[in-house]
Amino acid sequence: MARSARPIAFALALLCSALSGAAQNTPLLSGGVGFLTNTNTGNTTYMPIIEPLLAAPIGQHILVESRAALLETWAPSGNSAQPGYDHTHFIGLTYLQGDYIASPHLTVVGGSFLLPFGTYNERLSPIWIGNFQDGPISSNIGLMSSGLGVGGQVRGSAISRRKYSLAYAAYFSALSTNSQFTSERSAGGRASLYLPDQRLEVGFSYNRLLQGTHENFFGTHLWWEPKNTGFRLRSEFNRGQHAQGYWIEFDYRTQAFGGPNSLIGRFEPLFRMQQTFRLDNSTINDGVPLVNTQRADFGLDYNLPHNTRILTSYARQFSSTGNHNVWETGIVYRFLFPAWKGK
Amino acid sequence: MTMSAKHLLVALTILAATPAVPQAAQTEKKPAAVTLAPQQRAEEDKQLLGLIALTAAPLLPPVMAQDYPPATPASKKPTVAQASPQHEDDGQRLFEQNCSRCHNAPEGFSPRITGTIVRHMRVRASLSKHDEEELLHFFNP
Repeated sequence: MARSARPIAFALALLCSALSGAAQNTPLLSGGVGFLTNTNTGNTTYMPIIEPLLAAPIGQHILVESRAALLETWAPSGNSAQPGYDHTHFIGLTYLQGDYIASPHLTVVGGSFLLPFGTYNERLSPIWIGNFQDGPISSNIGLMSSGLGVGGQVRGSAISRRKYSLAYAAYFSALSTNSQFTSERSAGGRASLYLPDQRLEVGFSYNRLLQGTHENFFGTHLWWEPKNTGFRLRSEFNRGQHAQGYWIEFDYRTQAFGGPNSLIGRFEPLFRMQQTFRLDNSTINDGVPLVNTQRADFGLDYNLPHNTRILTSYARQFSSTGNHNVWETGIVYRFLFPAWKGK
Repeated sequence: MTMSAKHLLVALTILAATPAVPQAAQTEKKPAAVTLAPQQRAEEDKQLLGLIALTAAPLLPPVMAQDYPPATPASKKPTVAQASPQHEDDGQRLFEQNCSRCHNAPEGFSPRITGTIVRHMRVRASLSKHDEEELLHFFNP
């Protein structure tokens, strides 16, 4: 069996182990399937992608969950003598974790998990959730290259009242060079406060790289969704040893003309502004451009019936190495059903 | 032609019109900040209507003749039984506050997976045990 297939086989074995689920606790298969195109400085790439997610409860306290990505990319060959397209494929698990709900305020997570730093990595990265195809540039800060941790995490709701709630997550990750689950040795966490009346969430993240040159990363986020409007604001600022940056994103679905599920209400105009700043002259490969960069993204999504979404956007990126346009289009279908048939 | 196919055609028409601007014609100006004050919403809606009328006028009459379901997330519940008003209110509130903060509501799902969905959301969204129970009542009254 190929090495890359082993984790998938392991996930399937876990799925089978959860066959005895109760009436409402049947394991589920969810995820997104999409076809995405990206035109960057005139070169267009095409990418069909499937991101399945499996969640399988075991007993009353355990949940095993995993997400995978299967994609094929066609990109211009870049060879003027033989013009055409090269294609590459990728199959891999994004994460595979076991969750033990230990108490009303504590869940213990073990395995390979998405790092709880900022908001994008854990909450907006699935293709069926994100408004734009690609993530903000500065969201790479604090993600330790892979965005994954291999180790343990505790998380939960510290306090939940009608007027406010406080959530937390803290983790430790070991160094892992496994091809499926690459991670750096690091530790950190996130705390966030949510005010339901104001529909306002603010949070703070911190983590520290514990190998090589130890470095600290800080992040803060603010989300706001005014009540009874279709307006939503998400923003984040991250700072590391070598770079810092922010992004701020707005989206809107009109409540007029029959509500958000009307023909016009299904349109979703978007805007995102982002800037990254280099703090030193290092040439470290941390996912942030080596020169100060500004980028503005304008998008228009359309939310079709039956969990299907059309994503379109245009971005202009400015930096001292050159300005360029990025056009993106795509269609994504979100699926969600029981893992097997039943009564 | 099905309703969803018509939606797709409308969106694809707009999609096709959007990137038709030649690259050389794009300006170097940085975008102005977007403001969405209430009084501007009507203006924005008018602009959206104009966009629709310009790009998808031939398709609009048959598409607009279709009926659309109500917009509330509660209408997407997969179960038919009615929740008690208290659970309905709390569940709806919790759904809007926690689930909708990140993603759109899925359009219906099997009652057999509601427990799994809520447990998954409890971990992902750091819900309290009380919130988990209220959401479960909301989905499966």
